[in-house]
Amino acid sequence: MNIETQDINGITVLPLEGRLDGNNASIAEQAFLQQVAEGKQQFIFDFSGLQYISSAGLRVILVAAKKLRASKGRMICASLGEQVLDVFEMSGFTNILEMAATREEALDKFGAGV
Amino acid sequence: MSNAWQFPIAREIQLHNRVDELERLNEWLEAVGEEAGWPPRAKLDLSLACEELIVNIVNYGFPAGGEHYISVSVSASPLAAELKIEDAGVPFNPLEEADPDRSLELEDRDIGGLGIFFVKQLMDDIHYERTDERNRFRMSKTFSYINKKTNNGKQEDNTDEYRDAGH
Repeated sequence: MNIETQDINGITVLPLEGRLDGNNASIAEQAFLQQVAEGKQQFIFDFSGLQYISSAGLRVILVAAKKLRASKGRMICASLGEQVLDVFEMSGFTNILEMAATREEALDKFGAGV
Repeated sequence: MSNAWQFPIAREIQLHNRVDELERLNEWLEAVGEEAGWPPRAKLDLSLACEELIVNIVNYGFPAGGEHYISVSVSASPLAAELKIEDAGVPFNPLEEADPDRSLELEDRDIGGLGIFFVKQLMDDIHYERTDERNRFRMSKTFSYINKKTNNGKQEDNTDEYRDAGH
């Protein structure tokens, strides 16, 4: 997984692609932590290109959400595909995380719509 | 006893006890699913069930370290799959793990137990036994996905959805 973050009106968009599993979850975690180290606190995790997530992938999302909650940052999970949404729902994550149907909706929630 | 009539395809793979083997597992499941004619979503669900069990074995099965094998075998038809996962690690029955408390707030949530919970949710039937100093896990699923209608009202192949809302 190769992650290229994007800055849109001060919001950091982190796109996830392919599979987020036990083999590559650490790549996503490092990409996120790198951005936090650079002072970023407002994130959109864009799942539109992600076909598959496992509990190892969910761990990264949970770590990110907890870290941002503690530092008064914010993250929105946007554009979840079918399998990813089912896994979020099975886990109860849709109740504890901020969700958006699309990247645009997430930007609107941040008040950073274009 | 032969299952050849119900399950025309039978395949097996040996994985090392390392997480990078998930890539080989996934390619193998893709190939089996292709050959058997599984719905695309079935491949993802079976992939998830296998990953969660195998990651558990990799993480906890061999506390003394070293290189070991995990054997995965599948019997497949277009409508169903039966999977067996076996290892010679320490005795471990994943079904005894408590289900995670999904009502906790974000601050108190963790990932422990979620993987096995997914397996229980996704598969129809799961069974564990310890015999001949091996952990033997067996699970099966009959696919009950339906095609989702596209915007123009036509049935689109390969787009699947659960029929039941049991998860």
